[in-house]
Amino acid sequence: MITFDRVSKRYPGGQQALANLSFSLARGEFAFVTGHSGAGKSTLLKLVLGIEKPSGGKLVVNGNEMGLISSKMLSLHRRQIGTVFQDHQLLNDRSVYDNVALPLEISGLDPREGKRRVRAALDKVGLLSKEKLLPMALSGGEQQRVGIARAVVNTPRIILADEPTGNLDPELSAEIMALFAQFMSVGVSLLVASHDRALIDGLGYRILTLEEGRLSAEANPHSAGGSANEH
Amino acid sequence: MSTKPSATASLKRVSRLAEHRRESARALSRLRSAPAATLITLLVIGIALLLPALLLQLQRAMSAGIVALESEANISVYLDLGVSEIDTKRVSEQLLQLDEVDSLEIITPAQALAQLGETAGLDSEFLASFDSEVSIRSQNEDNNTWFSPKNPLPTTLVVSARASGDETLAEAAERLANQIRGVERVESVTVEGAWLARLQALTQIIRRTAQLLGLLMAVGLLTAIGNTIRLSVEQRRDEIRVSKLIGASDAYIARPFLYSGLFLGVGGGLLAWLLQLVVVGLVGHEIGQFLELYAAEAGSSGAFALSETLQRAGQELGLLLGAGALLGWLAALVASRRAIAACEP
Repeated sequence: MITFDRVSKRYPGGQQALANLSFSLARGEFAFVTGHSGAGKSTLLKLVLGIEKPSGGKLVVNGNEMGLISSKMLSLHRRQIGTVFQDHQLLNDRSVYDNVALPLEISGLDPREGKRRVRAALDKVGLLSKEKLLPMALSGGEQQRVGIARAVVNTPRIILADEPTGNLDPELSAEIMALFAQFMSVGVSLLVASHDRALIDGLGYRILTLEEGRLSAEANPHSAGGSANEH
Repeated sequence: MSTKPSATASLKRVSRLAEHRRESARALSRLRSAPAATLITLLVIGIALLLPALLLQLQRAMSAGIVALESEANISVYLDLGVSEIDTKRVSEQLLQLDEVDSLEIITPAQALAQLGETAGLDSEFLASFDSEVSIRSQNEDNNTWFSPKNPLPTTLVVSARASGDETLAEAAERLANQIRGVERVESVTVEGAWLARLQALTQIIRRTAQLLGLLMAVGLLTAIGNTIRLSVEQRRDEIRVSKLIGASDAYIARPFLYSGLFLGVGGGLLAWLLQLVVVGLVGHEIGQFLELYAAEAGSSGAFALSETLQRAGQELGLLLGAGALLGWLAALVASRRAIAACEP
């Protein structure tokens, strides 16, 4: 689903964010990306989402080669990826329902058809009763769950999450991770950036550790073959 | 919830019409949410459209009047002094053979004198003295000057010109006058209505000014509406950024802004029309009087059907709304495209 093949990213200022990074994420696989801030976690997610383009190597996401993707294809590409942001990125002048419905609206789905899906997504994150509220009326954890509902409402193939539990207490964080795990079980690939080692180590999923833009360690408790790495 | 990746493709899509209805409703509510900015922009558009519209209307009223007057473009042909009746007949027959001559009227010196007397209010006895066939010496022989009481007015042929093809009457008259100048026994030729030409020139100036002003106002409007739209895009920078991240195309993001531009333009056009009605109501009477003065000079009252022209304001409405809509949409298109492209995630 996602294949990094010796991908590097150097920003115009000369800063080397990623260097010669190779790994791939299969369909239905759940992996964490971890590392200190500045290690390249955010850049990695930005490349997958097409916010930045790789400066070297080849990155293929969902069949699209990200170095060559046109701006028209890019919006279609993003519609197949559900993204959860650290700071939720909800639209504060729209209700919880409308926020979750936004990806469907962008995809041009019939609103009546969408209604069922928005309800299902909200139900999944346990916020069906708050669909009419504005995001500001919700707690941080609830807002994050709205963000997750929005990320999954369009039945994406890939879910990206950038520090989704950054501002949450351990109990809520575990809840969020359990939610992600449910999507993995239905064939969605998840790539979650997190620096919360205590949380992710205990979950038992694949962990990619970045250090100065390079893959410094890879732990893969579930699969016997994927532990060794060229670094 | 189904999470099968292929689910989206087969699902029912929203109709284009419903999509546009939603985006236009969104644009309206955004305009309503910033009433002060919306009102100011509407006023700017309204006034900017009003000025050229008023000038064009004035020009149209004057042109209509001129067309009415032109139908009586006359040429005065003055024959040599003391031309005989036979010669006069011969010249008039010669002129009547010309294609451009519609009709012809002979004014003898005596008739002319009578007319003059009437206008100037001279007494008939005084006038009669001019009709004597012989020149007489002045009573005052000492200072040796000649005083001829003989009728000093020439025989005049008043010729009505006829336009052919797409030539205007004024042009036809001018051409005919040049032809007549070459005729024997013709002393001089005057095309009546130099004032008409002046009025025509004034109308041209008004028209050109209106066009130029319209052009400048259009540029100003594009800038003003564009700026309003750009600010509104920038206010929603976060929303646009998020929308882009979840796959919204630039065209999708631009749509409500295009509707905003369109609505501002149409609203401004409507405002311009209302303002125009007010202005015409206030000064239309004075303009009408001014034009009537010209009409009086032509001896035909009501040639300028100004009030009628001005009352056809309904036609102006369509033009103003159309101009406003086009400018608003165009400004929004250019401004939003640039501003949205600048909102990169």
